[in-house]
Amino acid sequence: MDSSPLDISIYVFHFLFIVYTVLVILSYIILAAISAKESIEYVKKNSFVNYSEILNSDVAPSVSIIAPAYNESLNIVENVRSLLSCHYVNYDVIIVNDGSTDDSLEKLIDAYSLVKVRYLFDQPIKTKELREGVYKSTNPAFDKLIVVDKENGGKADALNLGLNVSDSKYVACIDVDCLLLEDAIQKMIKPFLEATEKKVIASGGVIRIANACIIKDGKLLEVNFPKKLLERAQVLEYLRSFLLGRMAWSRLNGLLIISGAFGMFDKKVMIEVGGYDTTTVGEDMEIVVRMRKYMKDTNTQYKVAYIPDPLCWTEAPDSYKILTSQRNRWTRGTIETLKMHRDIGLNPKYKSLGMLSYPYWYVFERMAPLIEIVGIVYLVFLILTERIRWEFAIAIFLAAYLFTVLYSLVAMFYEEFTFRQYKKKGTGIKLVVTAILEPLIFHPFILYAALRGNFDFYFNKKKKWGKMTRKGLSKMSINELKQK
Amino acid sequence: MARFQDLLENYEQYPVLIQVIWVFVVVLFFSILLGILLLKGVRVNLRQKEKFIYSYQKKVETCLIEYVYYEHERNTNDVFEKSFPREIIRGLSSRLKRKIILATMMKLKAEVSGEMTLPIHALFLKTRLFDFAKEKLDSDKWHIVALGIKSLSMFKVNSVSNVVMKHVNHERVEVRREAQLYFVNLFEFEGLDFLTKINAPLSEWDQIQLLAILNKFEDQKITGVGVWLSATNTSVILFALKLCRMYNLFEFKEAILALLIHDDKEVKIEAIKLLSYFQVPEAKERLKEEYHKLNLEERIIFFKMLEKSPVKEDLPFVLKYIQDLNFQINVSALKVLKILDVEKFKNLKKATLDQKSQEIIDFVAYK
Amino acid sequence: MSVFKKIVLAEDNSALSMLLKFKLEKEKYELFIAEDGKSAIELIEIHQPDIILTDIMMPYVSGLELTSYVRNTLDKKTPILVFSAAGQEKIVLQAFDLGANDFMCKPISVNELLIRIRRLLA
Repeated sequence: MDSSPLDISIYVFHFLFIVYTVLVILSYIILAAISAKESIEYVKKNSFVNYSEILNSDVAPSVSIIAPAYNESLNIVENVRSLLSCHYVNYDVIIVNDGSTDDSLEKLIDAYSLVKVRYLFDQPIKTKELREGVYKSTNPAFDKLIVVDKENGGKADALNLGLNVSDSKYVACIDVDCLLLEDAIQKMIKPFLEATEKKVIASGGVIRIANACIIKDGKLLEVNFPKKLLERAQVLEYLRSFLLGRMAWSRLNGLLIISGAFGMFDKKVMIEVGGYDTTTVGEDMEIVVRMRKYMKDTNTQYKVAYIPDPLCWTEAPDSYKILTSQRNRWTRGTIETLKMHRDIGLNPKYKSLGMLSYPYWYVFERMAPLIEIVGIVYLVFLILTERIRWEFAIAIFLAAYLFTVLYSLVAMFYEEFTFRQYKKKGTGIKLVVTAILEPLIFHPFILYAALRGNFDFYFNKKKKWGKMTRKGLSKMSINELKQK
Repeated sequence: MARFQDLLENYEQYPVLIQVIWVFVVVLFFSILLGILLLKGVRVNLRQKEKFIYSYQKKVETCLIEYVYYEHERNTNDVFEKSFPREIIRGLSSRLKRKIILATMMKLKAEVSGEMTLPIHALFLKTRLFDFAKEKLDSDKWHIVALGIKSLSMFKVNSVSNVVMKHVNHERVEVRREAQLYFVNLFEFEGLDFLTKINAPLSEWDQIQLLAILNKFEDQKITGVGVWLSATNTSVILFALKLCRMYNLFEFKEAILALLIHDDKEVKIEAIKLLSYFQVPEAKERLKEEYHKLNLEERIIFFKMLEKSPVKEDLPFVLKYIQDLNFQINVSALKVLKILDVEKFKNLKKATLDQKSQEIIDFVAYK
Repeated sequence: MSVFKKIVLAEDNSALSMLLKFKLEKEKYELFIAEDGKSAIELIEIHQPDIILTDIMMPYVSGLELTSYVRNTLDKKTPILVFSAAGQEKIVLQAFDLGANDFMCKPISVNELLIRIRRLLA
């Protein structure tokens, strides 16, 4: 065999590529298996839980729902209403109006009979200042509501102010346009209250996609499968990620991320680590890593829990432009967080966090798009230099593609046996078609966005949060109802 | 056909690795086809099941309510067997139907009390529902055991209490929980005897559930608190403290004071909170002396205690902390000062220059 | 004009509402059932009941909000009886603050409910 350096390097390259692919496939299979076990156990555990005692208890701990809002005037009144109708006694809702330039505040004052009040609170975390101040309602039916108006500082800054204002033991940080189901708080707080040896510092929820669902007056009436492939692909993606991925990581206590759209935290620990980081776009991932690190550093047994019930519904991007902007931001957030905490990586001091979670996230999430593009470039190179061995290339492509489709199918099965949100006739076929088309049509955009994210991270310092235009959660309801 | 044979020949010449990958591809392909068919089957099946459950549930509900209502109206001798709804009795042979029937019965029982529950109880105790529930207690599977205990608990079946007692230290927390709730449901406060027998810690969730159920009972005679306050299981101590608070068991003052020097941080804090609620002066004095040994959280709670019932003797102590670095202690100290010596407080307002302190003082002044 | 007194019941537990329906209709009350606060408000506006029975924790509009709505927005003096699972001091006080007339803890004794309804309508 002629072993020129080029041939050798090609050989090594092939080898690494194969190893990577095999590892990816193996890891997905392992995660799916762990997920299955965890999901079955979860469903069993909860088949006879009685939440009614918790609902009505004086002794149940206090929870603050903190929702930062920026120019959400279109839906803010409706969203706040849904937050106020949670089935829990000891909670309050803190809406942090982050320097909105629209009439969000006026609308709230009007709808909830708010008046400005004197409110003294400690500021353990430094934030931007108050603007109009703190408001509470004169109507006792709304006495759980606190609205704080501050100078614009970004989502992380607004959340930090919420942390300062809150008097509760636990905080639930959510996106204000997320629809929260009535039993969300009871379900999310359960792991905190059930803990005995290991302290629960955070509990993550599942985000479901509200596009095409019928929502009226802040209540989820009907779950529908969206019409656009783009939205459908995201539903499938979320199913895979939440049911197969996070479920498994939570069992391994290696969950590195809690969705910024909905998560519950121990307020004291959050304040002790200094609150959210306002310099990163991935503040939701970053704080979880920092909190985990803190617990490890103080040698305290801890756990990050995960509740797979569909408790939080949000509107997903419905145009490729907004989607790529969102994924770009997620990519930069991941890179930033991993970079900021690289001292954990492969550090035996941090046990599973450092030896399992971090490397996995680094290789299979952060590096994956780069590895993929290198593979594609290489493929093109082979074609152009006529070194391509089609039987090999097609085999690998088919293997990867079919594996992805199968994985999506598995996710659909899990959904059927756990929460079954898409019950309507015909949705099954639509999901299957989506699974078939997604890797071919949707995935390239995701790849592009991730590459752009990498590029922007290294070379473009101006980017921060993109703008997602709010179409309003009710758009579907009005049109659909007209057609019925 | 020839082409296919060509392909196969080529195939045999490929390196092993590529052969393996192609096998994998074929396996994947057929798995997907199979998967799609299965998925369709599962969806159809689940949809039918759901429809059935919904309609059967409605049927059972109507049946049950009519039975309960009419029995309650006309039955004077409490013999219900003759009028058990036939539909329900027939349904008992199917596991799914049994599940629905039991769930409906429990749903109704949770909402209604008094004489109306007698027919429901009879329907449980005098049919196979009872036998099935008892059988569940001996199952290997933990969630079956828990379900069994739950239904027996709801229908207040006394005869199985020995069996349930064995499960109080079951390895799964869900079973332990159901067992504990069983005892409290049946024997009210006396049921709490299991507290001396449990080894595992009692989580907050469990404690809240127990308290909620205890709250419903009329007769609130509690015995055993003394023992529980000195238990080795710290969660039992915490639960006992909650009981003291809820039922104003002031008589255990001494035992609670003793807890001020307990090893466990949480026990100390809860003891301080409780003594504050009871306004026990000895506690105040002891904590004042030990102040330098207290950690931050304990100090904050202690100041809340001072806020509740400040006396003149507290003044010199409090003055030391009106500019404390900790926000909460600072505010508490100022509040106490305002109550004890308004003049000094007002003078303070004029003297202080620091903006942050000013804000705090203003706020306390305003309230 | 109906001689029967009208009751609006806001309760999301179907078993309980069905049972109450039997019992109350036998006692010659006309019953209108709503499963959540919002539909309860609609029923109240349409039928102008003589007494309102409402659960506290319901979807959409809670029992407390319903009470507030009836007393303040509709400006009615209709007697309101509130029920909730396990008596809870805070909620009781809030309900009375908002204008409720009576309160019962679940599980409720249906006979006791009847007596209280009679008393409130007298």
